[in-house]
Amino acid sequence: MDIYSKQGMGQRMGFGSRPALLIIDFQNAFTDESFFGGYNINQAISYTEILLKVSREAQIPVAHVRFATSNDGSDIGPFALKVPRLKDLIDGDSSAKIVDALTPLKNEFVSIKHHGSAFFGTSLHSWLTFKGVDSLLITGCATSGCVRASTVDASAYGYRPMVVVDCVGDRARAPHESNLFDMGQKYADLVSLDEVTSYLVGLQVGEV
Amino acid sequence: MTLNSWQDYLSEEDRAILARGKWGQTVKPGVRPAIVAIDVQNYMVGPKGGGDDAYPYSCGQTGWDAVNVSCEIIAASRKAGVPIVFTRFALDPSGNDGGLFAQKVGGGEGEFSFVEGTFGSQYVADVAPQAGDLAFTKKKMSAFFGTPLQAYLTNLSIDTIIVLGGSTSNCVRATVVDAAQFNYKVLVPREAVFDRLTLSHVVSLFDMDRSCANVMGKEEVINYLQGLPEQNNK
Repeated sequence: MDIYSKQGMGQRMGFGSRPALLIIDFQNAFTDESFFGGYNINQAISYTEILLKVSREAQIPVAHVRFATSNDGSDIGPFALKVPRLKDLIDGDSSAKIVDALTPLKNEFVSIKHHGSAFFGTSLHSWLTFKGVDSLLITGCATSGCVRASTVDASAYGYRPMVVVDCVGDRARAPHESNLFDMGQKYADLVSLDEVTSYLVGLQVGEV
Repeated sequence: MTLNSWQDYLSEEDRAILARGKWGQTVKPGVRPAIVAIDVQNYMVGPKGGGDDAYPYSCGQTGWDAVNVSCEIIAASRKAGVPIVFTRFALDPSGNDGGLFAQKVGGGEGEFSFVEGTFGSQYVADVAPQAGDLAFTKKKMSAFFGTPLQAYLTNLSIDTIIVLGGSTSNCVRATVVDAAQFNYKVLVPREAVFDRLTLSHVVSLFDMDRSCANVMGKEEVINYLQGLPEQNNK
């Protein structure tokens, strides 16, 4: 990957001063390999449990966005033509629920989305503006799908995306690795759970 | 226009409805504002001395009055280190990007309309971007629609928007609604926005104040700017 460094890609942005934690699609369906799960998603969920605890202690804003159809699946559009089982992720079903270990609290942002990015068709951006957020700690699945889409959008909206590598997962190794690489070169800093934990513990969370 | 000219249009029953719903409360402005100056272009105001018969969309002297107030507010903003964003509305001469607006109103013709490359489409010299300001062209009414404005504001940690320019009922209103939907606190200095119709102007101010912005006098806005804590711009 010499050409990337030659072209000056993959520079480090550094943490911002007002982060929020974003958890994408850690739903029951994604823990089950017969539905949408696989490879390292369950491990990523376990590590995110730790990060969620640290984030709540640091009192940073937390946002949970999950994928579900609110009708017969026609609200998913052509995405459901590519992946028809998406129509089985029905709002109200247990499979579409966020895993118990990551249950949202009342003061946290919670939204359904009908496509990849946590921003598309949701009011996430408005809530983040209201909270004065400048950077996002990104966790969730799948690395190659909704995590990447959300990370690209986060960058486009002006937030620093910090992808927590221990806390994102995919159903297969190759797309997970190649998308981490892509995100790290162009959109996000790739950070470890340890790094983020140290950063959050040291953060002075100001008034909002 | 006087301070609360919309009051002239309200009946007793209207007032009772507004009171019952507790509409139009005042939102405390934030500490990181940005100015968004909307479409202050020659086609919107015509020539300075008057004589705008050749300008089909001109708001005339009303526009110039608002331009003068805008200059005051912009000066106070620069002094306070507040970022300033300028938008302009300009459609391609080919007519390809006129869309619905061209069907409702027209695609623009001649030197004094909003067609790209014409004199009409240029910024009014008195209220034009300087080096370091942000400026972009838009194709629709809201300054947010299809533009990088959100990203600029997020990147600058902005929490409050002060909206200037025109027209009150079209591009200003669309921008104010979008800004409020993005949870920005919005201030509209009533003397710094303008329209070609009094009715549209007054009703739009009323509607904006009712649900998405603080419509204020210019002095209050300038006081706010002068009282800001130091703005650290990255």
